[in-house]
Amino acid sequence: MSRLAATALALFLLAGCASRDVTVVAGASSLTDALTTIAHDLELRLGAEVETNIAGTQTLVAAIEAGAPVDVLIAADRATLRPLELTGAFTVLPQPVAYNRLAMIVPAGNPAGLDSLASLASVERLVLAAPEVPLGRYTAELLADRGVGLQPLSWETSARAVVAKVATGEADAAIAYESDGRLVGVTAIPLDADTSYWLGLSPQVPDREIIVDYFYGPDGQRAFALSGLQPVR
Amino acid sequence: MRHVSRLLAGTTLAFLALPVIALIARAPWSSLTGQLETGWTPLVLSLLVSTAATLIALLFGLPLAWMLARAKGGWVRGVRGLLLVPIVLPPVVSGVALTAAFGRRGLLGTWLDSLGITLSFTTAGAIIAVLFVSSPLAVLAAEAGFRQVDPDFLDLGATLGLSAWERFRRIALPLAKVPIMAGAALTWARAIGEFGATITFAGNRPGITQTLPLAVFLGLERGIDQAVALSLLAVALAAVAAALTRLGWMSQ
Repeated sequence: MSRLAATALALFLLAGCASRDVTVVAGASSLTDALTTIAHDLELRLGAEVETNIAGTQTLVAAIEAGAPVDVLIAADRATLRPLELTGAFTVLPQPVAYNRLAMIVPAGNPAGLDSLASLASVERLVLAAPEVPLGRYTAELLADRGVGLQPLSWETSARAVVAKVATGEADAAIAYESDGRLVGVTAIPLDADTSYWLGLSPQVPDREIIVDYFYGPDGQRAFALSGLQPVR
Repeated sequence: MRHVSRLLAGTTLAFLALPVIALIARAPWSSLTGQLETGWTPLVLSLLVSTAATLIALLFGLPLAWMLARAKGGWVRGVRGLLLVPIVLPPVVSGVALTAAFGRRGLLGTWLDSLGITLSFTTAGAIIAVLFVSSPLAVLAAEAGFRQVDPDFLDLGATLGLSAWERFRRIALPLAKVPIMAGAALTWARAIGEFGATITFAGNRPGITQTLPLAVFLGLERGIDQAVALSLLAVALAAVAAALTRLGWMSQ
């Protein structure tokens, strides 16, 4: 019994080690590849350990609202950050930190020869991102802007899930970020619609200037470019 | 030592009860009816999908359970271990596996597709997803039940001239009824809570594959109040499922 107790306590303490003094960088799921580089670069600059937390922007914001310890947040859109700004939990830099583009995602080689937003209307098996997530909001804005109505088979809950449905052959077309078109099994056909990433900082974060300089500087911008994003300059 | 064990017991209870109590306390009671409006369709769909999956699990699972209970040899243990796989697999992995099998480019799916049958993004697909993760519970419970049936009764049935089917139907099934029902209740409960395999294999299609857990997840993206309100429906369903399972055990 006491051995069981000791083991349980040891495991629990081990798991609790995540709460030690580190800088937590959270990023939208479309930044999955960039964040590895970003964490590595920041560790060198801050001389401290950097942990990453990758999820949908909305999920990250909900977690921060509920008290999750996040120092830096790179969000896939501006609107989702608003509740954090209103409560003063985060400040958001006035300029986007990177850009992306919307694109039609089709099976590799585009067998159906889709060439425009309007051509998606003829696709029977189409998936889109749910309007609750940033990609879904961008998609809805684009469709409203161009006056195109689309009826998807499924409303996926993240950018990666959208693309996976095309990559596995379950869907014949989708709208996602252009950077996701680099995944295996799909081709991205850019739509002329930019999306932007925003940098949010917790007021408690030390070395604020180092972090901001990094993200807007050449090394940070190169990390974003590695993920297929567009730099801000 | 008695104090320590009481403390541990009390902690366990509090730990398990607190999140559910907190959820109920957090509920946006004043705007609840409005928040719940979006929940009815997913709720009805969840009931439909889970009930269908449970019935299919019984129809196809009982013969397998009966066979396993009566069979001898090491392979039975192997099959039983195999039945645990869908239970312990992370549900998202189950969803990927189902896509590899029944998806449009899947092993069996390619052939199904040529017949004009597509499962992804359909209610049938959602049923397949929950069936995969939950039906082993029905089979394992029924097998344990069949094992308890005294072989003498079956022999007696044979001497009275009952066929194998009649011995199964009129002797084994009634005698193993309680564990079968308990297993069915567990299957239903697991099916009600299924999320990962469903969203991965069947997608998120309102009214077609968007079951209650999927609606809660999307509700979270819309705001915590919406998610909590929908979660209350899930808590109510869980209470029903727990009561059903309990009923099964109590009558034992």
